[in-house]
Amino acid sequence: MKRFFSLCILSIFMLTFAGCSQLVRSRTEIDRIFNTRIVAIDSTDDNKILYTIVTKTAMTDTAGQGGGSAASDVLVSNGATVFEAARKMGEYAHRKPHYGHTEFIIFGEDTAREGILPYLDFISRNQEFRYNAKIYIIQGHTANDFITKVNEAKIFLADRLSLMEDNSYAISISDKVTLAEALFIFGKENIATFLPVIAIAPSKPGELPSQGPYDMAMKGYAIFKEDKLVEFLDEDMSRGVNWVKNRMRSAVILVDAPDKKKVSLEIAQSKTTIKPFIDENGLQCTISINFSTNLSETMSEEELFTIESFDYLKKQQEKQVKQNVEKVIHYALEKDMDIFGLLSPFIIKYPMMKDELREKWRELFPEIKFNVEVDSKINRTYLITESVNTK
Amino acid sequence: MLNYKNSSRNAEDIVFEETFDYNELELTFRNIQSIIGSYSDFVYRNINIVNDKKLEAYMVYIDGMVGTQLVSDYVLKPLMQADVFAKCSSEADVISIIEQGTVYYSNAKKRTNINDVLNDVLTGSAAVIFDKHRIAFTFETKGFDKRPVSEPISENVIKGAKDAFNETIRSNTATCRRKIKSPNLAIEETIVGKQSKTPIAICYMKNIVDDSLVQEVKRRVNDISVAHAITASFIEEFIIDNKNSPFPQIMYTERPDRFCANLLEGRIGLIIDGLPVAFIAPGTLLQFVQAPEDYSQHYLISSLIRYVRFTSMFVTLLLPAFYISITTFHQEMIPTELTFSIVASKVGVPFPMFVEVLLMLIAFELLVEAGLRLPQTIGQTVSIVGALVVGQAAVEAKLLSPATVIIVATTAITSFTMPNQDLSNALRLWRFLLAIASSIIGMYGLTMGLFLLINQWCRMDSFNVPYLSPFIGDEKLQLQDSLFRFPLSTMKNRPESLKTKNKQRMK
Amino acid sequence: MQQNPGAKDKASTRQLAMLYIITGFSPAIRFLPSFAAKVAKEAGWASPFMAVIPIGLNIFFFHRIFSKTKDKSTFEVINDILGKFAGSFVIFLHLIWIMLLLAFNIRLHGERLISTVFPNINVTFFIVVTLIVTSVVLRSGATAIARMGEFLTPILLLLFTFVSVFLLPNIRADAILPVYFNDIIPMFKASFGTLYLFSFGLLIFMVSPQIANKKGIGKILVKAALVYFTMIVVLLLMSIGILGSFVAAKASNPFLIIVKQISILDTIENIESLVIAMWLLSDSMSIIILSIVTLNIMKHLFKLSDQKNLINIFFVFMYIASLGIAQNRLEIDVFNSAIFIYVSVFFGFAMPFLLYAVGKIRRKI
Repeated sequence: MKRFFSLCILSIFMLTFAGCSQLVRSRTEIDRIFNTRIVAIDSTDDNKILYTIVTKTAMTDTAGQGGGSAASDVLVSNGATVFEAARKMGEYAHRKPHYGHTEFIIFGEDTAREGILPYLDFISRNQEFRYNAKIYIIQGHTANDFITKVNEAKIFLADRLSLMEDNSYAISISDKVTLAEALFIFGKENIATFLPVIAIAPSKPGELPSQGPYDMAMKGYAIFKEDKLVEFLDEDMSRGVNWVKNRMRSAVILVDAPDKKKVSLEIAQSKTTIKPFIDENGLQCTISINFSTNLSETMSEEELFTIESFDYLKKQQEKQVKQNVEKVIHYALEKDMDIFGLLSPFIIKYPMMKDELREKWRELFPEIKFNVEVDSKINRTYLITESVNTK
Repeated sequence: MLNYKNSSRNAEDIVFEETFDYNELELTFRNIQSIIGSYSDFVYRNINIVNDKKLEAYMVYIDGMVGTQLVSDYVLKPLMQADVFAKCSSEADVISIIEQGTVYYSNAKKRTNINDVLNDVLTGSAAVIFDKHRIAFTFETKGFDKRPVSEPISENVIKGAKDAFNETIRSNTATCRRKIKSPNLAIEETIVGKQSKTPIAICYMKNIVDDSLVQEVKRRVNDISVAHAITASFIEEFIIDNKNSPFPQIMYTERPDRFCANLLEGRIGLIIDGLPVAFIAPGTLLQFVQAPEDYSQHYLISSLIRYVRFTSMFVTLLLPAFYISITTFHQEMIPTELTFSIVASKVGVPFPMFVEVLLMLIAFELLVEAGLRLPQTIGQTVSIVGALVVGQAAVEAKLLSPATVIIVATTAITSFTMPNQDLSNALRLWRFLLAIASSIIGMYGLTMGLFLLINQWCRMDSFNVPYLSPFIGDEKLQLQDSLFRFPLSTMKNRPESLKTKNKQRMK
Repeated sequence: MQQNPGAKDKASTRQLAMLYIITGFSPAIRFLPSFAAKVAKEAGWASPFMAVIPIGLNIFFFHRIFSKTKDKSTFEVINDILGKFAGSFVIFLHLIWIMLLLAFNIRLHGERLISTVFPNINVTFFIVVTLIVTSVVLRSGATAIARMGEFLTPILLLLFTFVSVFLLPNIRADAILPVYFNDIIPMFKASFGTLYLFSFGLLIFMVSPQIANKKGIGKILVKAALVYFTMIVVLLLMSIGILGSFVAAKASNPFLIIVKQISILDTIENIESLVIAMWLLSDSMSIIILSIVTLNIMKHLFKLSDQKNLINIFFVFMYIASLGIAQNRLEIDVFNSAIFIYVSVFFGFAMPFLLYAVGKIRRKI
């Protein structure tokens, strides 16, 4: 009994109070870790990887109020692989990099054009990363550039990004894509996909100045073939993708009133269903969009609160949406890129043809005949019915 | 000088032996006087029945233990003045007359054995000794001061009875009788403690309780062989099953209503003379988390509160350990914003997290201990000093991070919600063990510690009832009164694990 | 004092049913999703349905074999049915298999921890700690272990339900569809994973030498199997439906990855500690169950009066065996998917059938 107790006490002391025991090396104090919020990966010209990680400065809340100092802490290193680059940070890092809180993974445009899947291996393998981290592509710059340029803003980069994400629902030109989703899509063969894009923007409206301060902005989708970036879509096209993929949350539709003045309609609800169909004419696909809008603003002086005008506005908005969607479909067919992931609806409907469809999808996709059906209604007009313009 | 029956030993010596059997002595006034006579509270007098010089007797009692008024009015007065004694010619006549009840004190016993007489005198009787016949009469004239029935101190209930047990066994048993007016309420008394001779009452419902349980409790109580039973542990520690477990295995209560309710469930109660609490066996973990309020409020409220109590039991047990493990091993498990606040609060603090937490836990224990030891008036100063010095100053001096203070404060507050102090203490012990385990290897240590704790609970039995009952053990699940308290109408049966004779509580 | 029947020394049927669930709980979490996703792709979640008939039959055999053998221990029943020599031989085969399984499980327990939560820690540490904890718990006897199973299983199931509630809405339809007749062969192959989880049935009867109230054994096992089966299907639906079969097949612990994604109101997030606790508890339980079965078999075969002295020697042996069983994670995984699954399924499903068939022929049951 005596021996047992002394052994117990000895081992407890040994294990608890030995500062850097060989047995348990993963103990790190919370204030000694570098809590990465953003991971940025670029490939450089000499086939190396430029690896940038960003965290919030620890003392932001108390010390950062007065001066214009950046709210972020940035570490940069390079290496032949992402892991090597990450470990090389040990050469000078003041705190141990930790990836458990990584919320954003961003890639520069050039890197994305070469393909991003190789870089995702480290991220999906490392046990600290979470699969709900979001992936973004930087338009026109490297990710490192983006971070150094935008970092001068007072608000912390990652906070800014997530706030932007929250607010972007109002225009629905892009949507977040998580690591899990990206891996899911990249895992499927013959499917093109899209990732949201961020660009460096001037802090005041106008052209991008050569000197800071800079800001950032959401810019639609980047289209990927397999894992390689092909093209950036403009806002209308990106919204078209959202329409087809049923990712529409809200947006503004501008239509003309009968007197050619502008009327803004706000999308309140929308639902898109894809109905695939195979017959002797080949593959067909009906995309039916059902949405409802609210009248948010009118510049028109005419009386709009009538059945006829509502009908008129309704037709206008349907026409616009249909055009929007058809443009994107046309683009996809032309480029032979299944950005809508239409293979899944087809094989769900025709499971017996699963293997055949999968194999020949690249040939079959451009031949699909699309049929877009749009149906809508206008719900309400908020506090006033007639415009104050109406005399 | 002692008179002894047939022993050749030196009587003065043997009196002081612990195991001395007074039965060897003859029942005479002198012997009694020699045994206890030299102390100041011992009162004796020589009386002559109806002033007859021939009829000699001795009266013996202990001052303060008997009501003097009772003795003089109901014992002395008849002996001195009653006419019936006038005709007596010898002491034998007197004895026979007393036996017929002339001394009209209600509780009179005829004793022929010195041991009995001594016991009676020491428990507050007055004895009248007839030396020549080796016979004594003892009158139970208890008149010592006792604390009146007062309000319960630690188990207060707003909507409930306000009486509590006091230190006198007889008034406690009487309180129980008043609550359960049934002939089936059995109250059996035994004496424990070689020196203190403490009476212990074993109470149970004859028609409900499992007989083997009664036998077992009696056996364990009778097997106790201690010098005295003045503090609770002398009984408790000797009758529980698992002596090495810090978890309480016998419930204590100061509320007679709770005590009686448990008897009616089919449990056994122990009332010990001199202790203002009563014990209930067998005790299971669930019982220590139940509070008397649970049965005096609406069932939804009680369920909610009991659920909160269960949660706080685990919070107080696990929170410090969990905090250590997530801040030193698994930082990815803290919500992002919280991580940054913890880091901000930790910057500049020189100690590792687990040292901080352990220091705070120890400081908290010290504060509790200091608060207990000091008189109430000074006790408040301790809490102010504690709050200011440990809380404010240490944080400002960057010796501790505010986050740690909050964690330990939460731990402390949740530990105060435990209705049973013994359980709270056991959780305190395990809290330290788990904190140490998790500072060695994070969640793994914590989970393994928890695993061992669950193992300890599972291997424990209290009087053959599994400690985790009703969650484990029985064929039929009876969870109406466990994590939540369902309406009383759903609790139709008594606990299965008690194997009661009468299973049904209500129809 | 007279022992209350059922309270000590005998395990109740409910305890048995809970042990039935908890033995397979940890392989269900860490092994099944990636196995099913690898073999049957998006139809993996439906593969358990292919295993319904064998599981049902298995429980039926157990019921017929054990329900009428009131006071006999499992070993006596086997000896009765097969005869003394053949019975001992079968029990001996079990012993070898379980010891291998145990060494393998102990090693895998450490390896998994290292690859998911604690990188850079020597595997020996985990093996030693596990063995110490196991030997401490084993000393408390079969009753305490059965009770632990009874106590822990509902908690684990509750935690699992809690996690599922948050995860189920995230399932993508295109990740779990289509499932059609042309998936039957992969589904059949993947169903071995499910069978593996249910293959510890016969061992459960060996945890406690005596079992109370064996009459209702079939009914309660069916109930347990239903609960367990639902859990497995939900687990597969979540793992494959959220990650997609492509990622799920490659991940070493898909369930942990998906739980890491849970975030509600930005407050309840990062709750994987729950899963780690769940998985450690169930892992330790299954190691303990396997250990006590091994000790019970040894006690029976070598006619030992007390197995406590055996524990220390046994664990030294287990320490060596678990380190020697494989060199790295790859070998362990190959070992698992190539040998252990099929051997386990053989022992778990063919043995009860054999017992039943021989018993019927010899008119013993």
